[in-house]
Amino acid sequence: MASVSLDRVRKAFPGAPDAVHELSLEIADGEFVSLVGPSGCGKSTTLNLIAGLDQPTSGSIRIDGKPVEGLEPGERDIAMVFQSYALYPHKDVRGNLAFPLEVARLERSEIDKRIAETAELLGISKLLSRKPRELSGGQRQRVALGRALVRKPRVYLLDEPLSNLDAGLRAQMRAELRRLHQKLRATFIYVTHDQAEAMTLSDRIALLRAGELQQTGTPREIYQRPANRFVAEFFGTPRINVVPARVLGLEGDDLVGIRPEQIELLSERASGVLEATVEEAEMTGAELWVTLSLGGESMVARAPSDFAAHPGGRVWIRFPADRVLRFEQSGRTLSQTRL
Amino acid sequence: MKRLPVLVFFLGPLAWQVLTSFWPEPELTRALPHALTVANYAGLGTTFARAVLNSLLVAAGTTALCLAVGASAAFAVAKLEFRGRSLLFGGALAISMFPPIATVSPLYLVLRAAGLRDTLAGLILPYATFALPLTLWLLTSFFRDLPDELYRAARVDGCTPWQAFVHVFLPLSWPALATSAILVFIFSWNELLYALSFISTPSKRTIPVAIALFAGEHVEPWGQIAAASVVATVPLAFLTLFFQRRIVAGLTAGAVKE
Ligand SMILES: Nc1ncnc2c1ncn2[C@@H]1O[C@H](COP(=O)(O)OP(=O)(O)O)[C@@H](O)[C@H]1O
Ligand SMILES: [Mg+2]
Repeated sequence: MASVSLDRVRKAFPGAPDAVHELSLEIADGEFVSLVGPSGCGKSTTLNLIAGLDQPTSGSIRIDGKPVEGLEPGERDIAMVFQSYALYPHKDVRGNLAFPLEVARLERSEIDKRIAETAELLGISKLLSRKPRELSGGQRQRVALGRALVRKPRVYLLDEPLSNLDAGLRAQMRAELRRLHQKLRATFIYVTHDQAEAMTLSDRIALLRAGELQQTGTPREIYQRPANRFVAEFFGTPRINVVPARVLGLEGDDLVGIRPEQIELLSERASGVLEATVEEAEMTGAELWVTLSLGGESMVARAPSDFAAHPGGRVWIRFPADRVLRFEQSGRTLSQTRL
Repeated sequence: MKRLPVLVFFLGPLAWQVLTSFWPEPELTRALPHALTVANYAGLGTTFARAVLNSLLVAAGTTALCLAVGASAAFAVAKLEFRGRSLLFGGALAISMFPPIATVSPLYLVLRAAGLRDTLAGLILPYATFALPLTLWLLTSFFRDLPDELYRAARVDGCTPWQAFVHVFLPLSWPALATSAILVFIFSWNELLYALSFISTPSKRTIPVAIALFAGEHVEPWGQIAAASVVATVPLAFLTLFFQRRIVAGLTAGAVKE
């Protein structure tokens, strides 16, 4: 097990803005940290730098406190799971699992023992003699995971490992990953563009945008105290509502943000409420997502599924003032002052 | 039925060649022979057998050399980052732009200086050089189509770039290797210009040279030339038929998503 630390790591590809810009990040031993952000924000590049598949333009990386500069990927005691799984097509499952151990010249008996253990753990014992093309997506995913597990590395790097699975399987694998992390207590660095995945899996999240770190924190911190508007809008479904302060009857020219679940919908007027018009109501099963028109702005609120909302109808809203986030005029940084 | 004209167009000359090779020499001017004979084949003799052997040696040697150099170079161009990568690729392609005839005399001098004139190795080297661009081109596009993540996975699993090439990429590239092998083999099997220019000892001649020199000063032994051509063609035809599927797969690899 090992900590991973990045100190002002920069990666520039020729003729492009920095893919990763001055990234500093401390990942503790045994922690599950997600790197999230929109496509192209530098997540995979960061992972490749940690793995040693790419070299940083400047800055330094330490694993377990030791600089890894100049170490080959195979010498870093890391394992990586790729988005495409990258299984070796000409080797059967056993061959795929054995490969990293064979390269490391382990004893045959040790190799067989580890393969059996890993296959047992992941429930792929029956698939050992199949070729990757004879496996379903979910099975390939497990084999890819297995190829990382057999090596018993100190750090696991996972690059969008679940993004090629269908929704049901993804939820199942998420739970399994969490279970695996708890069992192994190894350091996991997990890349995803899916905010919900990052939320449910991680001890801590680091959000990147165009190569720049926006915020790190626990899922709760990031959700409740986003460092800026980008972070606030990245997490949560439906998205946070960002409107001029006056729309919510608040002081100032700033923009303010309020999460859809913080807005309470009432079908009758009461004291301290604002009046709004229903634009649209979207039934999601457990609840109703109501799009409102208020002071010329659109906002979304979440309501119980039996709430009566009809397009064009009138409703009243109320919200806890201390849950409103206030953004500075630039829209970029957020003042943490409570209202 | 629509295929018939096409078949006649492509196979007609070949059929004619085969027929001529069984045609008794004295009856060549007749519309049809009275009887067929194997005399033309029998008359080819040991000199020609020697030429076939030489051609096999040269073609096999060229193919082996070309693939060994081409495959590793193509892998480097496709998957590794190094200075002068495009220069290497471009340079190799530029070689194929030279008309061979322009290189005959300089090459002659080089080979003579290296003591390789009038040897089979002296043919293999220039053949491999000229066939390399095509091999490099084919194999590079094949390797490029294999996912980068496969290379990265191998590296993370502890492979050096060379081990990744040998253990992961080579075993996957049989279709492309077979395609390149056939094309290189055919090229060196058919080559006449260099073989004619660099080889002087009769026992070291290759098939094309042997056939070209059949003709005496006053006679053209058409029957024997036809028989020799058939002997030269048959191995190629079988080789190609055998690998046909793979050749198509190799040439179009990655052209469409699976
Ligand atoms: N090998 C490369 N050469 C040039 N640019 C690259 C290379 N790899 C990634 N990039 C660029 O770096 C940026 C970050 O890419 P990446 O880390 O793959 O993003 P993500 O994984 O977050 O989607 C992108 O703009 C991408 O185009
Ligand atoms: Mg990526």
